[in-house]
Amino acid sequence: METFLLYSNLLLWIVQLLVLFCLFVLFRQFGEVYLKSADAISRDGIPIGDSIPEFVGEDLKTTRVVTYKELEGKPTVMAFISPNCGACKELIPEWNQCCIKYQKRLNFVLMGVGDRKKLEEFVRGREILGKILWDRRNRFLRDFRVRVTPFAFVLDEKGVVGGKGLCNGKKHIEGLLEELEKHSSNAG
Amino acid sequence: MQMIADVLAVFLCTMFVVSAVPKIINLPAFKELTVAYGVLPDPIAAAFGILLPFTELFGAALLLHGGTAIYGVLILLGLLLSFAYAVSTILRTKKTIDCGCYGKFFDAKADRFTLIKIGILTVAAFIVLIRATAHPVHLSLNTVLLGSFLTVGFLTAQAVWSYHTKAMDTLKNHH
Repeated sequence: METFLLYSNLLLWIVQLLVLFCLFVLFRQFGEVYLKSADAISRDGIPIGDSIPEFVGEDLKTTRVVTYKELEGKPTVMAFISPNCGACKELIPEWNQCCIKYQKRLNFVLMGVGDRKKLEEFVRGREILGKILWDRRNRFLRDFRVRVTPFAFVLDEKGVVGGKGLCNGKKHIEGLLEELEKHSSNAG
Repeated sequence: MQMIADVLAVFLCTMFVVSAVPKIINLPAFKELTVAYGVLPDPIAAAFGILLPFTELFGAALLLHGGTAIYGVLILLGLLLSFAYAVSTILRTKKTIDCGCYGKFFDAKADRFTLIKIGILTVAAFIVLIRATAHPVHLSLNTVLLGSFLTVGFLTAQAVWSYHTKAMDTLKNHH
């Protein structure tokens, strides 16, 4: 009987390890499906219809402190970037194009996260239109519930989110502006 | 401890039999695969590809007999070390290649899982080696059943991992 119990115990350990392995694999796959897909990323961020949180950033061009209040009065395109992100670098030329096209009626704000020196290097040698704010309190990503960069919001003149999503270029920015128009007309 | 060494001996033996038989069934394909690894010069790799499955079978057979178990386990350890070298070379060069661990029986890639698997088999082989020097391997119905079950569990884990990596590739490409 003791031998039987010993072997059955070892057998159960083997099964247990296999089950744990399968669970690990399952969680890994769920993570890929629910956290990394484009749909999952578009669910990130402050929900549409909510106001953005209060924030304080430092304007990298003037070193002046900028608060959320300065964006009110005009709709805003707000994109989160990080200095090590390749897609953020690729975004800049089309960001500038949109800036030129829409600057009369929209604010364009890049929210830079991460190390200040690296962000300065990112800015150096690149013409970047619009404001570029550095996250001096290291709170942008957490407060705006953003996981990946480049990620953008479009805000109405009161700072309410009208659209959000990944932002890899002009097409995405204009898509977000369409969302804002839909949101404004629904709200109206 | 002796019982665990016996179970591990059966486990190693069945693993290498399961590994060798599909390779022997489709020997030309396995020979091509060893050449495709690109670790050895082509003529040597081709010869290695032909000899390997038979060496695996020979080592596994020696493992089951008390008097020859040490030689069997030494052969298998040598093979495991060569596998580890080949797979780590593949990982360093970032090549995507079938590991060919089970011939055409399983579609498994040479990846980190393969390296971990080789590590586990190497630890098992060392335990058998250490015990076999003092006590000959003794087989009983229980050890054979448990060792075989361990192999089934290992192969199941391999199948789950292969399915998982394919699904992850599909998801990443879809994104």
